[in-house]
Amino acid sequence: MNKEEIKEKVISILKKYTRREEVWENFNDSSDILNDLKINSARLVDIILDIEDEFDLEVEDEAMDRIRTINDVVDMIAEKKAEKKD
Amino acid sequence: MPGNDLIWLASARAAAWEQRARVIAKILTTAEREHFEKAEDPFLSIWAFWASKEAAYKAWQQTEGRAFNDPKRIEIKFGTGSGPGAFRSKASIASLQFEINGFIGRHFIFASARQPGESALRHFFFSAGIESAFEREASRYFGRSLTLRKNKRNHPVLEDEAGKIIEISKSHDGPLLAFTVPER
Repeated sequence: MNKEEIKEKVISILKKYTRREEVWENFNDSSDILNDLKINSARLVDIILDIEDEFDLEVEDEAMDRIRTINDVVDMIAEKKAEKKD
Repeated sequence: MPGNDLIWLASARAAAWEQRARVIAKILTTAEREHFEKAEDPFLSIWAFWASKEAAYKAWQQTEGRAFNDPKRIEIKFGTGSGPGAFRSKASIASLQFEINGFIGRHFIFASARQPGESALRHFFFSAGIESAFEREASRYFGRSLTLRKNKRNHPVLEDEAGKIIEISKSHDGPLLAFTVPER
């Protein structure tokens, strides 16, 4: 799975938790999940669990801590997938 | 500097956090989990923990300016004064301590945080989408014209015509908006 495919799946997960459709009109890879996409911070926990299920991986507390943007999520998943392969 | 958090219980019920072991493991520390496991109402318990953590985090972030996502970096201890409808807790984040006051209503949970020794807090509740009503109420409360805006760290503040800033906290969930300000 390449990064574009990961991003597509991540965006589809994030879309479940956005309250306003209009945030998706101007998003980019650097969009901040909480501030730009206006996702409630409580939903971040649900998002992490959805990512674990969708990509069959575990997001440790330290990895969760580093997530700010869509790009951060995609990079984290790509790294974990690569580690799994090795 | 104040922090607050508001949980609309109808949305929280849909998430069913209290029934999901993986959620509990992501949110609560070992000591917190022991408290949660003894709770009479696990649903209200997990959300009282969350509201306390979130309020403390917002107060911490206003002081420290940094961000983190791991809820277990905030440890909550519920204290005396907690009972039906109200709770008091203490939050620790790294070396900083915060005092939390919360209440559990029919439709929502609300928590506010401040550091020991900081001024008492006052709360304003409005229907979502009418922030101008808060500006009017806050201007009346502080006795001068105030504008709601965001500072460089993206935190909400009130600013008067002389440029003096009052640090505040804002939460939004369901149909409600909550603002917390230091008492005048």
